[in-house]
Amino acid sequence: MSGARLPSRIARRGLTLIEALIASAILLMSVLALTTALAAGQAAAIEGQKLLLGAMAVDDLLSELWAENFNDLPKYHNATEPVGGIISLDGEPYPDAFWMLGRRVEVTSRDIKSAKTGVLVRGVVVRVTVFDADRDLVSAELFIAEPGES
Amino acid sequence: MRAIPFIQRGRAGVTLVELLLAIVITAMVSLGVASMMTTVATVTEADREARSALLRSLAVREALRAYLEEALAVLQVSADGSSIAVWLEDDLTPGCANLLEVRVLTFDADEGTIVASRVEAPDAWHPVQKQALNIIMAASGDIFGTFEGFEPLGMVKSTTLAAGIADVEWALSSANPREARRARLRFDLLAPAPVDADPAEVPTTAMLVAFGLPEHRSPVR
Repeated sequence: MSGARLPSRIARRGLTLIEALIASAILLMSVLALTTALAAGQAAAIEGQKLLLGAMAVDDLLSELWAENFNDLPKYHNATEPVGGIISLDGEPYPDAFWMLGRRVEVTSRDIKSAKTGVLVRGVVVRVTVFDADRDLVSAELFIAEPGES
Repeated sequence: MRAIPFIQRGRAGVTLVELLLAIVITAMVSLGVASMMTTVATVTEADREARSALLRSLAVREALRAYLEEALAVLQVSADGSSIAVWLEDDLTPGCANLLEVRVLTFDADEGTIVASRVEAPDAWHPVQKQALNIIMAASGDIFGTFEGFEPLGMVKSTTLAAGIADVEWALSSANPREARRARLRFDLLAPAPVDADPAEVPTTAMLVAFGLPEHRSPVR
């Protein structure tokens, strides 16, 4: 029988199990990648908010301590407010937005000699550090000169 | 003419069951993706609002800090705690707070703003008239009432320090404002909202800012 072709039986063209599994795996990986990216973005946003709130909390306490009586400053050395428990010097609690932050104060004596005039200025350095449950976030210090005798 | 052989092809289409199954799976996956996208959009919006509130809060703090950390003393707090009068400088009559040395920080509830006001004499006035205007603000005087009195004369100049605020409350470290070395402001920031939104429905973020008055000295009168 020359030139005659047998009827070809074409296989069913549905998905095999392996193809379905590969498709599922690709879909799963895509969702995982998206979720990971979103989680990372969210973590970065929270970190940014913490740093901003931390800077505010540092500023506030430095400002309050700056107005304190100079001789009372050493008593704040090593004063620590736990995470979620920061309050103003007058005892007013901070709002919920600050729940993830704590604060610590260090007061150390420091004398500064002016290179130009040779005048010695006695004072203290007040350092305020804001931290969260894991690490220190923001820190700033302020030199407060001892008031002259009036 | 040779007859074309009939080729019996395999089933090339899909059955109704397969089609339905595919539709159901596609719908489930689409629902999952849509749900995830909605969550992402909600979280992103919440983040954006929180960040906006923080940045605006920072702006409010810096604007007020410029006044408070330079101030010599807080002279008065309004009865509702929403406004304070601060003694900013001591140029005339040393040790006494004169009218032109005072700034009033007022909360305007209708506009949702914090406004700094000062009394300013018209340029055309003679120096003697200006000096006469610069009266000493005694402890017993009503500074807010005095400022209100100058308002209709167009002699009160105002600067808006902050906007988008729902409520404020000042507190001091001492019952006598003139003795206070520290001040605190608790305020509620309004989230960004359409102009026609009901203010009562707009969410707020509570914030607190604490100030020291490092230059503090009480006026002698």
